[in-house]
Amino acid sequence: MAHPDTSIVSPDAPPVQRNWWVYLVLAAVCVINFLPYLWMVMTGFMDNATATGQSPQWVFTPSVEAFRFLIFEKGIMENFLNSLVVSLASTFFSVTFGMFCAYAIARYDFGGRDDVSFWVLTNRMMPPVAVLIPIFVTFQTMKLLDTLVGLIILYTAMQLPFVVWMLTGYFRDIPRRYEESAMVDGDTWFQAFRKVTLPLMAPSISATAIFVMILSWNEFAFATFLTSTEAKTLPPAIMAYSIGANISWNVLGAAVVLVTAPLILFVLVLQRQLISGLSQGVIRK
Amino acid sequence: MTKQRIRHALVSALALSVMGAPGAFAQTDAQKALAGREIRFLQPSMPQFAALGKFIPEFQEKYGIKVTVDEIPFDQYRQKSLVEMQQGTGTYDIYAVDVMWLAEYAAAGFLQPLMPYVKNPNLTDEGYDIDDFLPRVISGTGVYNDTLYTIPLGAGPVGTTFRKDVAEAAGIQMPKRFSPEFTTDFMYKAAEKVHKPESGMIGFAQMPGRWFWGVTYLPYLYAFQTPKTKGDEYVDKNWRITINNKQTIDSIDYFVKFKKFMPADSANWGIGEATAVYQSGNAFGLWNYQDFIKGFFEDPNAQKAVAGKNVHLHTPAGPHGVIDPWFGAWSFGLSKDSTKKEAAWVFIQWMTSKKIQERATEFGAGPSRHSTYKSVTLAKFQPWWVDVYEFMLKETNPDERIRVPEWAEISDIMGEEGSRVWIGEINSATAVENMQKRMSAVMRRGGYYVPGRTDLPPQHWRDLSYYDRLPSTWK
Repeated sequence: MAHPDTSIVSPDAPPVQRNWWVYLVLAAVCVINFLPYLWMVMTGFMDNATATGQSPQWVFTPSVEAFRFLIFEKGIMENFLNSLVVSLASTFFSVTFGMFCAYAIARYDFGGRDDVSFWVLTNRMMPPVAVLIPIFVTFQTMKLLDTLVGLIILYTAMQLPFVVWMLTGYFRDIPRRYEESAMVDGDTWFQAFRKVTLPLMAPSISATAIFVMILSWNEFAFATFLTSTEAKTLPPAIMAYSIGANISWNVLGAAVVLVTAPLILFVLVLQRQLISGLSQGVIRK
Repeated sequence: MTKQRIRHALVSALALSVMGAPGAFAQTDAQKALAGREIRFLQPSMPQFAALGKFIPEFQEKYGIKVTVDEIPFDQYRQKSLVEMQQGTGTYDIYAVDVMWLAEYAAAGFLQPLMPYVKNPNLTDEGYDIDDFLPRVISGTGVYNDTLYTIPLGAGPVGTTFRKDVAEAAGIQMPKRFSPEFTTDFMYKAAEKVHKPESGMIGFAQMPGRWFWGVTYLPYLYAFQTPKTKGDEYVDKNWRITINNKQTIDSIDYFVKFKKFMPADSANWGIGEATAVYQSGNAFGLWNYQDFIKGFFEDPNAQKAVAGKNVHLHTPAGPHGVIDPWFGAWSFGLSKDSTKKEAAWVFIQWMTSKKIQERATEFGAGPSRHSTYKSVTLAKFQPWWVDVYEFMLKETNPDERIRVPEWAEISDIMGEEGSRVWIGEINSATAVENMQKRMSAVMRRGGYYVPGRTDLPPQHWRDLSYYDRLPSTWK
């Protein structure tokens, strides 16, 4: 039985434009963007001979040879776990600390506020290689080399400026009068922050957290130099196992699957917040 | 009675097989006392290390010493090892050391001299026999200032690999290794003859990326020398740069001539790109490093398109019959900052023992010992090594790439100027002029031209007998 169409259309509404070519262009862009990734994923399921074959093979017998090599021979799941712990922890800490810092910059007027704001941003301008040795020496002195705690502290410090910069803008978009109303009703500033501002900021915080998580998850330079066997994360492990004097394409493909799958999952779960967060501030309320 | 004889025979056979089993030497008390230790080894990801890695479980079981290997991408390996050594972290007990880095590491005091360990019967297995190593291989790889710092895990020349079947189909008879018939001229003409890109076959996959000139172009720099200019390829006896000459110009022109066989995006090609093209069956020939042959070209499971169809030659002789005396090697170095030096040495000596060196050749490791070169295992699994023995004994030159701290800069200058010729920005004569100026500046900065200076390094390549001493006579 067919369902009746219950949507209401205003009689004055302009006719819906169905520009088929727009969809065609979008589809082409999607395919072009997705194909390289699809090819890498497929390569991960090829054996070495197929992956280095004379011509690209779209149809082949799937093999888990590369996954077996990475997981059982190289024990890459330990690196995976290290990456997960470091990324989640540093995301949590940088977003938590950064949120309060951004709130202070957005809400309170204090001497040198703009300078602090700019100084925070300049921390991101420094190329990692310039501070690698000092950080290495600091870690060595504090016995943080090859520890997850060390990486969590470092990544938190690295991502804080990004979080502060992102969230300051979002906080400024939320009218101060909302909190003032709550405080008139007897809330402290923290209660007003928790009950009023924080729920409104949830999408922005989620969007920021996703970016921070991606940055931490993919960080390579510090992870290579500051870890050895105990705290090594996925990016340096993948480089070592797939790129030697030549490139093991199927191992690299399998590694791409392992390294991107959690991120894709993470983004899919938080997709709604991400879009909402990114669009926040676009329209003034 | 017969049963008893059979039992005796079985017991004797079992005893003999145990005695003859790999690493069957009884452990000393000092070695037994090291059980339970854990040592750490930093290595780049390369086929020869993978071959030796297969024996680590056996070592752990025999000695009770746990070995943790940290693999680092080759591109980051040098920086990582230098930072660790410089800071004296002691994180790693053993480092993989490239032959080109020995002088720098040893001079800085990063490595522990090894001869006292070699001669310590409490830590070194009976039958280790340091004099079984080829003199030029062990001294070229591990000796600095008359002191032994590292033990080689395979050393060899670079060369060229060609598709035998493609040559035969084109009516080309490929020469034997080290044959004087294999010349630069022959190689170019053969590549030209089989070059059919429309059929998916390029004549030669060169590696002209800027970084690679220091390894893939050098065989031609040497090949184009005359007997008279040998030894003065880069510097004269007074360390004056000598690169600006006809031989260098001709060798660059020859190297760049191969551009016509390559795709438009070839300017950045290195080992990875060229090897991938060859492995997929789309190139007639390419540069190789002896230690990579088994892993890159002769694994029938991984390289179905080319395995078993190759001929492995040296790099070609130039117009005056000169060949490149290339020497490449990796070795085990014991960290000065290790707190478990004895356990680390037990690992090094076991990995470089006669038995393990021979068995590792089955998986692609290269030989460094007389006994390995002469072994049945090597002849069976890597027959392309056998002909190299005489070359490594008498011809190879550990200072083919001059081992001075300035080499990295010299090599980079060569790569940068050479690449500019490859992309057509300048001609070879201009490139060579630029090299002369820039390399001279590097040497001047290094203090080589300070009047009256008497502590400049010796130029051992002018008298290779220095490297031919009996290994056990080093300090």
